[in-house]
Amino acid sequence: MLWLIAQKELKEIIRQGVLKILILTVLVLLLVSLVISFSYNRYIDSLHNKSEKESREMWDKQGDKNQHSAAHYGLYLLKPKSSSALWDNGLDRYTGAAIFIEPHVRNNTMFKAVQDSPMLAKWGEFTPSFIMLYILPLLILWITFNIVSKEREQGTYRLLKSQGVSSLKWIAGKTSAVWIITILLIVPVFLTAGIIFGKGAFFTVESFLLLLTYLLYAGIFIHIGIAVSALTKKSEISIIFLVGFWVLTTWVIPKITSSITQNIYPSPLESEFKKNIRDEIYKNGILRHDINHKNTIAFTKKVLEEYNVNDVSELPFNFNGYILQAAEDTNNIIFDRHYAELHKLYKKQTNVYTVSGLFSPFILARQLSMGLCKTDLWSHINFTKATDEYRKLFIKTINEDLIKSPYKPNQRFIRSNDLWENIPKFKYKLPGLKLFSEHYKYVYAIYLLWFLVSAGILLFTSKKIKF
Amino acid sequence: MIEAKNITKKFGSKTVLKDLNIKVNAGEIFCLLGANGAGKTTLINIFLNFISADSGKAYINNIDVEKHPSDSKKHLAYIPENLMLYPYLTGIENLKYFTNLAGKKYTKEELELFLSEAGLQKNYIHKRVSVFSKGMRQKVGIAIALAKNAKVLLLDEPTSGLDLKSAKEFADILKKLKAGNVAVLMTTHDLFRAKETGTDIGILKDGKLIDKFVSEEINYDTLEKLYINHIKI
Repeated sequence: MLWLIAQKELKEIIRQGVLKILILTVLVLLLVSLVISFSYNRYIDSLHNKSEKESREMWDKQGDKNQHSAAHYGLYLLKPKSSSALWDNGLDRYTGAAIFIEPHVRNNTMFKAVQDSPMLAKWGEFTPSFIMLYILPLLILWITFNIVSKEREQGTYRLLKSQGVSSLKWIAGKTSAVWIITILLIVPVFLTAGIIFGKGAFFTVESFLLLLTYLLYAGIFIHIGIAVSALTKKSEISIIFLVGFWVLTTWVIPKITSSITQNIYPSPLESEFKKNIRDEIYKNGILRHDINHKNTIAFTKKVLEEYNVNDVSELPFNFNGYILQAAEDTNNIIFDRHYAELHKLYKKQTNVYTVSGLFSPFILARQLSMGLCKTDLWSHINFTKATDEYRKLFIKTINEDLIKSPYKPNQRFIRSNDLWENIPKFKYKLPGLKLFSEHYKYVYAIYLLWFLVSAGILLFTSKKIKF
Repeated sequence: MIEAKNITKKFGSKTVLKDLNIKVNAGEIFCLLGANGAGKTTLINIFLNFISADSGKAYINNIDVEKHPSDSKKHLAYIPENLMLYPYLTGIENLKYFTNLAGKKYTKEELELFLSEAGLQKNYIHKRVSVFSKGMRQKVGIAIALAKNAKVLLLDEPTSGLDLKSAKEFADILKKLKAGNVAVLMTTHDLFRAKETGTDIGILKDGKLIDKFVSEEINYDTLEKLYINHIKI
């Protein structure tokens, strides 16, 4: 009987001109957004590969130089995109794609797409996730808002009930029909996009979790849409309620949450954050380029005493390299602590978002979508941590070479390409499920709760409605 | 067989049906006359188990409708005053849907035959119901009853708003059903159709069956006078 009711609903939905046009429109929008997203990501990927390659080649072939001068020549490291980033660009436009590594300082990412975009582009991106999280729910609400109430309005429910159909089976049949349409709309597109655009790398656990996330999100709207339609006597009231729910959960609550979060846990300004680090380094760090700084003088004195010599030229190693590495080791502790505090602050902020997800499934779906596409904050932080680890290794290798070099006052030791070429290349692997589960296990739990509660409400409504 | 035993139904403080007793045997058409608000539709709703009686029992084929709603519905077909079908489905698709829901399976040809028997023009069988008149929709309702092989037919003012031709066709079909031993309970305002098609006629007023006649034993004029008198009082 369930399938019989579902079949009839499908037939009706497909035969309604407006719905047919709306479903096709969403499908076309989804396909267009995928093509746009794929083209953009491919362009960014090629740009990244080219830039990283060029930057490395310039490093390798920079010629004869002093090690420290070479280190200041620096290297660009670029953030790779996951194949699932096709669906959600997440924070990538805001976090930037490249980091310039050099001695003494831990730089932030640069080349933020949002800075290069025209004003209109800052209104938001036309990505597949935009379609899935904003537009698809609207389509579902349009399909469901009168799916039950219209039968009351047009009187068909009396004839149905006279056939002995239970309200539970009736609602279950209707729910199945909307699920079938949703699945037929999402799954083939998802799999096809994976085959065409993902080149096999797309079919990972993360990508299937992403598909599940989008389906669960659609499911929440299906259940709520049908439950509201069953509970309201008039379709007009149903559509007003459901559009209100959509506006509230996808626009109002996320905006309010953002404001509340910024008020409770304000993010420091970038300039302020950098100044705090600079100030602490000035106070407690070693400033190699400021030989008159008290900490530099104290460190030099300590080394001379330790080795029982009067001048750095008498030391059994190159003091220039030694103090440079000591400055790195000391200052890195300060950098690491400040960044760790910043990341703790971000965690607190995202916790507020997670809690507010109790009132808006959109907030949860958005976080999960970005997390699974590896375009979220934690993936970005994972990248920046990896680049900083590499920076430490990169500088240490150069400094250690300098430490072994003969020390000649007022004369800089020169090295050539063989050293630069021997510095290991930056190899970065995008984070796996471990990072996702670390940051999103509670988000997914609340998300599943939303789905189960919405299904529960629908089940309860199905049993209780006056058929 | 349709039977109401001592049924009383109140909505708030208003008593809509008072200790009502009605019995319609197989092959009988019981026409229930009454003004608006007399309780006719309430009685039909109780037989359909859409609402429950406060006291008394309603039976369809000797099955208590409240205790066994699904079983009782297997034996009945129902046509309301304004039968509404699914406008995006064709006549035959609507018939197929409702008969399948009732657990009956028919071939396309059999379904077409039911619609033809119900009097639906052939060229409308595969047209969407959105273009159907009220009379045509009523015919699909009759086809549902035929296909369901229902032994009980509940009709709630089925000829209201039908043109003369459609009403006549409807009455003819009822006679056929009567001949097939179907028990029919029909509420109506239409004295002429009641007299023409009914085997028994009852007048309901303020929830009470105040008069009852065998149709053959009363002429139309007398029926009309009696009905008007009852309505006036």
